[in-house]
Amino acid sequence: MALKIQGKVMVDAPRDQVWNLLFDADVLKHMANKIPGITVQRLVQVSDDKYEGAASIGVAMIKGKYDGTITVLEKRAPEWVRFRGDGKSGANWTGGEMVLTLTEQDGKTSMAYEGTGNVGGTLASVGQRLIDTVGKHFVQHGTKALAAELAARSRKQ
Amino acid sequence: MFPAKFEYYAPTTVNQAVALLKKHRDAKVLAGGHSLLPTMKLRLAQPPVLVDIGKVKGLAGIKVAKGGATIGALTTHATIAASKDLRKQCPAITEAAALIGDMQVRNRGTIGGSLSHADPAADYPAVMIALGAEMKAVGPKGARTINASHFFKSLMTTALKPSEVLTEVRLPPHQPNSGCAYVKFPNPASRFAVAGVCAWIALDAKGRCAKASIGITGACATATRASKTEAALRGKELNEETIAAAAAQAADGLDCLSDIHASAEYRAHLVTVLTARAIQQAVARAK
Amino acid sequence: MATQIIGSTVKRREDPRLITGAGKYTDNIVLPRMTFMAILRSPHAHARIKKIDASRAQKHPGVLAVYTGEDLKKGGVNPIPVGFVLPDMKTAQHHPLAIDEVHYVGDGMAAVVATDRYTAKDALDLIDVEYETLPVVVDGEKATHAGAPQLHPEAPDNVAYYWKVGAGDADKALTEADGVIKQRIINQRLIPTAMEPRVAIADYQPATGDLTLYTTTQNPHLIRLLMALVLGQPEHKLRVVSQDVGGGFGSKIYLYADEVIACFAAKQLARPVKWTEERTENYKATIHGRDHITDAEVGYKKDGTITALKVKTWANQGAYLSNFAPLIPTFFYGPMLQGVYQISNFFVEVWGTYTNTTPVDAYRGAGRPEAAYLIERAVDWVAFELKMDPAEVRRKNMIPPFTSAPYQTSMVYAYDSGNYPATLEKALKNAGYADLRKKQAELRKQGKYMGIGISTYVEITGAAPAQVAASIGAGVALVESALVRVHPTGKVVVYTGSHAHGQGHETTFAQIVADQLGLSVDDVEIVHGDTERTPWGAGTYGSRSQPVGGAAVYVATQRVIEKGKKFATHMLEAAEADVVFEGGKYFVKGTPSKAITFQEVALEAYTAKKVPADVESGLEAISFFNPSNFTFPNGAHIAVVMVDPDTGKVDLTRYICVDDVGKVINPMIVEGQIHGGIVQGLAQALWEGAVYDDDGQLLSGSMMDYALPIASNLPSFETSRTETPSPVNPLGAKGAGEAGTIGSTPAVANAVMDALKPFGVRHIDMPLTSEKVWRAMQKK
Ligand SMILES: Cc1cc2nc3c(=O)[nH]c(=O)nc-3n(C[C@H](O)[C@H](O)[C@H](O)COP(=O)(O)OP(=O)(O)OC[C@H]3O[C@@H](n4cnc5c(N)ncnc54)[C@H](O)[C@@H]3O)c2cc1C
Repeated sequence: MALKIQGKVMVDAPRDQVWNLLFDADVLKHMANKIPGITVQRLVQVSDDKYEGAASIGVAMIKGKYDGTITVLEKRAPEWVRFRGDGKSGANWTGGEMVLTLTEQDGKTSMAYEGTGNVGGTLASVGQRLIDTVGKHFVQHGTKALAAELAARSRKQ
Repeated sequence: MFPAKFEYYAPTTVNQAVALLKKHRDAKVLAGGHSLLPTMKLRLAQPPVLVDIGKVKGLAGIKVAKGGATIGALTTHATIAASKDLRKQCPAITEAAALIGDMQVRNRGTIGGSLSHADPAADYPAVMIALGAEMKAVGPKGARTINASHFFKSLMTTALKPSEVLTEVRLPPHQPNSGCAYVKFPNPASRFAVAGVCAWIALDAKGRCAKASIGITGACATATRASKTEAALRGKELNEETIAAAAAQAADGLDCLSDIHASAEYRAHLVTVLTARAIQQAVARAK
Repeated sequence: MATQIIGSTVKRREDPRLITGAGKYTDNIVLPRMTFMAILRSPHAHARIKKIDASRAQKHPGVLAVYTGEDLKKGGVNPIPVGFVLPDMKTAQHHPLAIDEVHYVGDGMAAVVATDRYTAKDALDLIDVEYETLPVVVDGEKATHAGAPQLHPEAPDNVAYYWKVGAGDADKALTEADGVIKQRIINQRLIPTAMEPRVAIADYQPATGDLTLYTTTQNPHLIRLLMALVLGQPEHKLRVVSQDVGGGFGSKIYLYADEVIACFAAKQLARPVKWTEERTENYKATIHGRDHITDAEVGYKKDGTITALKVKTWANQGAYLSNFAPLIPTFFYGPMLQGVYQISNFFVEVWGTYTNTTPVDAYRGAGRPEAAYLIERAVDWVAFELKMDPAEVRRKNMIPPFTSAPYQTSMVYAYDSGNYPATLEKALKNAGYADLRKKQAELRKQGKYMGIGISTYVEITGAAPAQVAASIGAGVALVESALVRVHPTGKVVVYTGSHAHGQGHETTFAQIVADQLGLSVDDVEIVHGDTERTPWGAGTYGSRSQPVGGAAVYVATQRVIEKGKKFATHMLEAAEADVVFEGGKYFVKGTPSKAITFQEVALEAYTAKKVPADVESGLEAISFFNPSNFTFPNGAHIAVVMVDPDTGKVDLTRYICVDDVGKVINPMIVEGQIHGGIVQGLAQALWEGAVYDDDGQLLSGSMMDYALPIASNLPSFETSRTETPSPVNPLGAKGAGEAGTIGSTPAVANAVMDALKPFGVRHIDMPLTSEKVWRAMQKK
C-alpha cells in the first residue's frame, strides 16, 4: 500500500557539513536506532552509492527482521539527493523513494523530504489499516532523529 | 496459519509471570490470545517466548463496591458485557464489551489483553479515558497504578514496561447525577471501531453540565480525549443545540486515520456524530 | 403415493453428520507416511524472477523436497488449460509454478514438501528469491490503454479476447430515443470465501502406478480430465475423490496449480502429499468473481419504454485465464442483459483483460449477476430520469407470460417458460408496495430516508444442452449422469456425477427416486464425489444439479421401472403392455389388488426364479441427461432500507422476494438456497469488495478487511414462490442455487439509490459503504 511522505525538519548545522555527514553509514545507523521500533544489526556502505544492512523493524508485537539496501539514485551536492530503500522479511517487503532538498538558512539547514513508501506481502494484505500510521510514525521519528544526529555530529567536528 | 516456533510457560502467580518476562527479553504475555495468536499465525509476530497468564489465580473477576469497581485483567469481554452490577454503575463499559467483535472473541478476549494491546480501533480505551479508570501493573519493582489519561502512548504502545503485567482495572465510584454511554460505528468486516466515543457527564443541581469526560477511539493512532468538547459542555445547559455545538468540536485537532474503510475526513465526521449521540445518552442516564 | 415425496419438505439427511462435526472433509484425511506441502507465493504483483535459490530450504531438517516451476516443467507438467475457448482468444501460459515471471500477488513460485506443516512453512522463508519488479496494472480497463504494463507476450494490450453480441440497431435506436442515459457502472471484484478453504492430498502407489487425488472440488470428473492433461497421468490411473466440501460458490470448480503440484510431488516422493490452504492464502490463490467496468447507454421513450442498450464492458480476468473464465463475461453475461424485458436493440462489447490480480472465474451467479445488476439499475435510471415509479417502468417493458412455448429473446437464448408479471405483482402485493411508498413520503418529511428497491431478474441455469455448449466454446459436454442401482432387497444406490457441497443432494436426489419407486428416502443412498464410483459427470455449478443432475436421476429411475417391468411381466404372467407401475407396485392394468411390490421384483432380478433366460438379470440403469435447452429461473425481489443521514449507514429493514425456480423438489432446501443467495448478493451491494492498491497488493486480504455479511445485520426474509415448470427436463425444475444472489444485488442497490433520490443521486457504485452514501448525501 502506497503512502505519501512529505515534510521538513531543521538541522542545527551548516549545509555543507550536513551534506557530508548525510552519506556516512554510521550516521544512518545511529539515526535508525533512535526510531522507536527499529534496531539496526548491521549497516555498511558497500559502494559509492549503495548501503546494505539488516534491522529488526516493528511496532509493538508486529515485528520482522529485514534485510535491506539503500541506493543513492541521483545527487547534486550539497543540496539535493534522491535515493531509494528496499527491505524484505519473509513474506513481506517494503520499499520507497525519497528526495531530500537541503537549503541553508542562517547557518542552519532546512531539510525538506518528499517521497512515497510501499509495503507488500502479508503486511499489506492484513495490515492495511495500520500502514499509514506506522509509515508516518517511522518517517516523523526518523527525520527528527536524523536532524538531531546530524546536528550532534556536526558540533563534534 | 502456523506460527513460528516459540517456548511456552504457564506460571501460576503474577510474580512468576513477571520473573519470566524479566528473564526472557521479547517474551509476550498470552491472555485471551485474540490479538496475539492471529498475529503469530500470520507470522507478523514471532515472539520466542510466551508467558501464558491463563493459569494465574485471581486475575479474573469483577468486584463492584462503594469505592468503585475493579475488573481483573483476565476478565473476558463476555463476562463484562453480562455483569449486571457493572451495568448499573457504568453502562458504558458493558456496552463497549458487548459490541466487541463476535461471540467467540468476547468469550476468549480479555480486558487486560485489549488494554495492553492498545489497538487503535479497540473499544475499551475510549471508555477508560472517559471514566478516568486506573490500570494496576505489576513489574519486577512491584505494583503501580497508571491513569488512563497516561496509559495509551501511541499506536499499540502503552505505558506498560515489557516486564510488567497488567493485573487490574479500577473504575472510580459512581457519582450521583452522572451518566455514561459508549457509541460505536463498527467496521463492517472486523467489527472493530471505525470510530467509538464514550461520554461521561455529571450534572449539577440545576441540571447543567458539571463535568464532562469524553474518550475517542478508532479515529486516531491512539485513543484520545475530546478536550474541546468537554470544555464546551462544562457549565452549559444540555439541550440538542448545545450538545451539537460541543460535539462538532470533538474532532478538532485530531490526526485521523485513513484506510480502505474510512477516510480521515469521514472518521472525523463520525467522531462528531457519535460524540453527540454518546453525550445525549449519557445525559439521559444522568437524569 | 407418488408425487408426495417430490415437493415435500424432507429434512436434510446430511445435516446430522455435518452439524455434529462428523462430516468427512478432505483435511480430515490422514494417510500413512503423509507429508505436507507449503507454497511460496509471490509478494509482488509483477516481477521477473532473477534467481531462486532453494539450497538453504533444502538443507533444513525435515524438508523432503523443494520444487520450482522449472522442476515441474522438466518433470513433464504442462500449463493449466482453459476449458472454454472463444474465437481468437489469447491464452497466456499458466504454469502451476511461475517460470521467469510472476503476474500477481499469490502466484506460486516454489513448493516445499516436509514432514510436518510447520517445517514446510518455516522453510518458505529460507528460499532466496531475487525479483526485478515490473510495473503493475490492476484495472481491467486501464490494462488496455496505450503504455499499460504488458503481462503476457501472447496478448497484446492485455486483451485475452474481444467478444460482441447484438440485436437490432442499437445506434439507430439511441439516436431516435427520447432520452439517452450514459452511465459508467462498476461491478466490483468479490472474493468467494467458502467456509472451507481448499485442500488437496495426492497419494501415489508406485507399484501400480495409481494416483489418487483427494481434493475439495465441485466436479471430480472435470478435475480428473484436466489433471490427466496437465500431469500426463493416464485417466484410468487417476482417481479424484471429493468428500464433504464446506462450500464452493464456484470457487472450487477449477483445476488449481496447488493440486497439480501436490500430485507431482507425490509421484516424485512416492509419499502422500497434503496441502491445506490458509485463509489469507485462499484470498489470493483461489479465484475471485465479477470485476466489470462498464460504460452503458440506455435509450428510452417518454412513456418509459426502453428501446436500446449499448454496453462496453471490460471484464478483468486477472493474471491468467482460469478454466471457465471466458464463458462468464460473454455468453453468461451479454445475452442476459435483456433481462425480463422486451428490448430489441442491443450492442454489447466485452474485452476480457489480463491484469496483475488473482484470476477471476465463475462465482455464484457468474455473469448473470453482472447482467441483472446492469439492466435492473438501468431500469431504475430510466425511472429516475422520467420521475416514474420503478415498478411502472418494469410493467411497461416486461415480457408477457409465456408458459406453453419458449420466448425467443433478442440475443442467443430462448427463455424456457416464465410469468414475469405474476412474480412482480405478487412481490409488490407481499411487500404492501403502495403503503411503503406512502410511508416513505411521510418519513422524508421528517428527514428520514427510506428506500424501496425492486429487481425483476431472469437468469440462465441448467448448463447445458451439450451441442449448444460445444458450439459456443465449451471443452466438455456439460451433460450429467446418474446410475440407479437396485439391490436384491429393493434398496437403491444412486451414483451421480453431480457433487453436493451444501446443496443437499443426498436428500433431494433420494426424494426423486423414492417418489418414483414408492420407497422411503431412507431406502435410497446417494453416492457422489468419487470418480472411481460414479459415472462421468460434469459436476455441480451454475444451479445445474437439479435441472440436469436431478433430471438424470429421474430418467435413470424411469429406466429402472421399465426394466423391472420385464420381470414383473413374467411374475404376473401377463403381457408386458398390460403391466403398469404405480405407488411402488407392478400390476396388470385394472387389477391393482393382485400387485407385486418393487422389492419382490428386485429380488427376482437377482434370483431369476420366474424369468426365462432371455431376460437379463440385474436391475440398474444409467442416464447421461442432455437437456434440450437451458433453464431460466426468475423472480421479483424487493428491498427496503433506511439510510442514516448523519453517517450514511444503510440498514436493511425488510426483504421480500418471489422466485420462480420451476418445480420444487424440496421447499425447505430451495428456501435455504434462496436465503443464502440473497445474503451473498446483498453483501455485494452493501459490503463486499476486493481492494487492490496500485502495486497490486490485495489490501482486503483477510476477513478483518473483507466485509462478509453477518446474520445479526439482516432482517428475516419474506420469501415466496411462483411455479412455472420448465419444459426442458422431466422434473420441470429450473435450478435455485444462484437465484437469490442474482436478484438481491440490484434490489438492494436500487433501494439505497431510491433513498438517496431526494439528494438527486442517480447512481453510485457498490459496495454502498457508509462513507460513499454519506458523501453522496453531502452533494445536494
Ligand atoms: C475477529 C476479531 C474481532 C475483534 N473485534 C474487536 C472489537 O470490535 N473491539 C475490540 O476492542 N477488540 C476486538 N478484537 C480484539 C479482542 O478484543 C482481543 O481479545 C483483545 O484485543 C486482546 O485481548 P486478549 O485477551 O485476547 O489478549 P492477547 O491476544 O492474549 O494479548 C494481546 C497483547 O496484550 C498483551 N497482554 C495480554 N494480557 C496482558 C496483561 N495482563 N499484561 C500485559 N500484557 C498483556 C499480550 O502480550 C499481547 O501483546 C477483535 C479480535 C478479533 C480476533
